Amino acid sequence: MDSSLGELRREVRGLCREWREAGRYRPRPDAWLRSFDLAFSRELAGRGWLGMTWPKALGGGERSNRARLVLTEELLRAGAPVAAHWIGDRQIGPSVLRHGTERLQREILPGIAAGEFVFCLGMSEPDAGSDLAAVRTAATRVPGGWRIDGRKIWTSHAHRATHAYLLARSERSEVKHVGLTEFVLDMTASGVSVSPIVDMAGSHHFNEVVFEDVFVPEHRVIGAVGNGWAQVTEQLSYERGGPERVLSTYPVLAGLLDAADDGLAAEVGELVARLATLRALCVQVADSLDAGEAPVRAAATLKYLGTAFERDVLECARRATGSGVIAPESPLGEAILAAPGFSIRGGSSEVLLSILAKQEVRR
Amino acid sequence: MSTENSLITEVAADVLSGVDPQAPTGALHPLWPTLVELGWPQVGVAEARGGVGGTLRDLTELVAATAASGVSVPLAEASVARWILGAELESAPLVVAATSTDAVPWARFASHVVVCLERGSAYLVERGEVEPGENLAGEPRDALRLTATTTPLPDAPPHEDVLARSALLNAAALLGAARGAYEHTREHVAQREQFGRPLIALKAVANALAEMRVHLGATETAVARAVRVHEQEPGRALVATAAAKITAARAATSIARSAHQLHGAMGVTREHPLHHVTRKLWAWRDECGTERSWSIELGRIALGSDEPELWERTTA
Ligand SMILES: Cc1cc2nc3c(=O)[nH]c(=O)nc-3n(C[C@H](O)[C@H](O)[C@H](O)COP(=O)(O)OP(=O)(O)OC[C@H]3O[C@@H](n4cnc5c(N)ncnc54)[C@H](O)[C@@H]3O)c2cc1C
Repeated sequence: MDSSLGELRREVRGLCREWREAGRYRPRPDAWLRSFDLAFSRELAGRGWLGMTWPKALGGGERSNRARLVLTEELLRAGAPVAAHWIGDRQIGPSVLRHGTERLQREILPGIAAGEFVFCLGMSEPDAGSDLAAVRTAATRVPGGWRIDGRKIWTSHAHRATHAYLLARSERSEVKHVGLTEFVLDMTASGVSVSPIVDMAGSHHFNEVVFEDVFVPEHRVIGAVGNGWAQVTEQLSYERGGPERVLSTYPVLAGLLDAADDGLAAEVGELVARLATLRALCVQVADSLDAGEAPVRAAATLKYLGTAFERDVLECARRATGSGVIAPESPLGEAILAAPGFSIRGGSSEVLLSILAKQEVRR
Repeated sequence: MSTENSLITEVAADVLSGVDPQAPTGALHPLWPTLVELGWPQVGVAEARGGVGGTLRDLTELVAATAASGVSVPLAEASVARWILGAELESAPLVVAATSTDAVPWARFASHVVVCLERGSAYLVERGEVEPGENLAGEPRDALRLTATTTPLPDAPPHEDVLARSALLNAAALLGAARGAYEHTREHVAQREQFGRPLIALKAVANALAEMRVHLGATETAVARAVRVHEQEPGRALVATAAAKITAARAATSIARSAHQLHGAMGVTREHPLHHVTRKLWAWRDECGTERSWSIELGRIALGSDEPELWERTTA
């Protein structure tokens, strides 16, 4: 057990307070997707807080997932601008650490841990959403590596990323789960083009990314050629099992403490009870990662219940508003306009439930 | 969602397996004397105070396992009374604890009642006459006619602590009944065939079962957290109990609904054992403080706090 968690907590709080008070960021809901600030990510890197569970030789801090949970939940609580490093730190790093060759690990992990590399996630395609295994982006063998052709969509921060994770089809097969391979790409590689997709609130965070005849060297394959499906499902438990699936609307809940009157006490009490339980679930997921397990069921449970909680916080906050007008740029307004994505991104609630249902059938 | 504490779970399974939950009319369930002999009501009470050792966690496991079996016995109520009284009145046949006098659990079978009202100090009273009543699970909830003389209990823990312990055991009991409902349902949908295959092969059915499991998992987590807080940071026990109680009550509603839906008509019969757990879910979710009163209590605590308190003390 990591003995200095309390100290870590205080340090993270101190840093966020300092930046906030200096006007260097504005706390926002959904900051882990929407607030992108490389300077802040590099500040965290300088303190050893990116890749903090990874081996020291690869730029990490060899701390526990419990410690990482302390860090991530304090950052989310503060609504801090963490989007730049979130994907690399949360899932690409751990995945490369688990499946990548030593060469790939040396090439990628120190860069993420230093806040130099910004990753985007090339999974979804126009015809492969919930049915992720239906991806069509093609990887064809060429001398020295692979050629990529295809199209990814909803790629958050592709326009700012230095690198992309890519799930592609390296083999045509009868069974769609067979013949998928994972790659790491440079976004500056020739043949990569990014075009913005603006969301309903007018923000630009996700994109369409087209790959035309893009060369990827052989050593940029993650794990085994053709084993992409097994690897990506594991990666998804990192993606789903964290406190960001509970705390996207936490700044709104915090604001509610001042705004709500006694008439909303029962509703607020129920939300607080759910938050306490969800935070305890986050600890369970972190502990099972520390025990070397891939907590598929716990991560899906957490995301399923967590995103419903995030949404219900907004309903309660809406009832606490007096004037009847919610400005789109207010924390509540921003959150309401972002909320439909909560139960879709990273696997929709329906899909999570069907994953859990398959486990019921199998038991 | 862990099930450590395997020893106590095994002991409980041994004692409870195969027991018919149906009690004869007008009498305590025949299993009760065995549980008393095994010392279950004294588990989690310090030995110096007449306990038999074991932790609070062990006690919540026993309460949950008993509830899961569908058997109705005054385990939680007798246990809280024992915890308040210490070694006093050790040989009395049955002493139960109550936080009101108009719906005292199991009063008709008790020799004495420990009453801990919100206002005023705790006292002990011989049962005397009662006005019989029952909850949705058919368990005695009798009104006391306070005719006998009362004995003040100056050393009793404060009302708040009694309430926190009772409500924690209530949440554990809800957890157990929810487990029972889930297990019955799982077994049913795996065996019953329609459209040429077991119900569980139908997607909507498997999803509903998965949703039950999600709520069960959340309740296990919430109860385990509250037990830990009771043991390690008693100052925060009330808020942690509130969170567990509310989580368990919410789960009770949703799990009981799905359990019956998935059982079809079979589940609403007296013969099928399902009602031994679902009726408990409906009854217990509002006992030891209603779901709503706990929500208001926790909401007021939250609204009276600042954000750091909410984060560090209330939900950590
Ligand atoms: C804000 C945001 C950011 C995102 N960022 C990224 C990113 O960076 N990289 C990336 O690769 N992707 C990203 N995505 C895409 C996301 O992963 C997909 O939107 C998601 O997987 C769902 O796919 P879809 O949108 O095509 O919906 P569809 O799969 O078409 O689903 C539509 C509806 O049908 C339901 N449905 C589909 N299949 C089933 C089924 N089997 N059973 C029951 N119901 C079903 C779904 O639950 C949903 O309600 C992002 C999405 C959002 C909203």
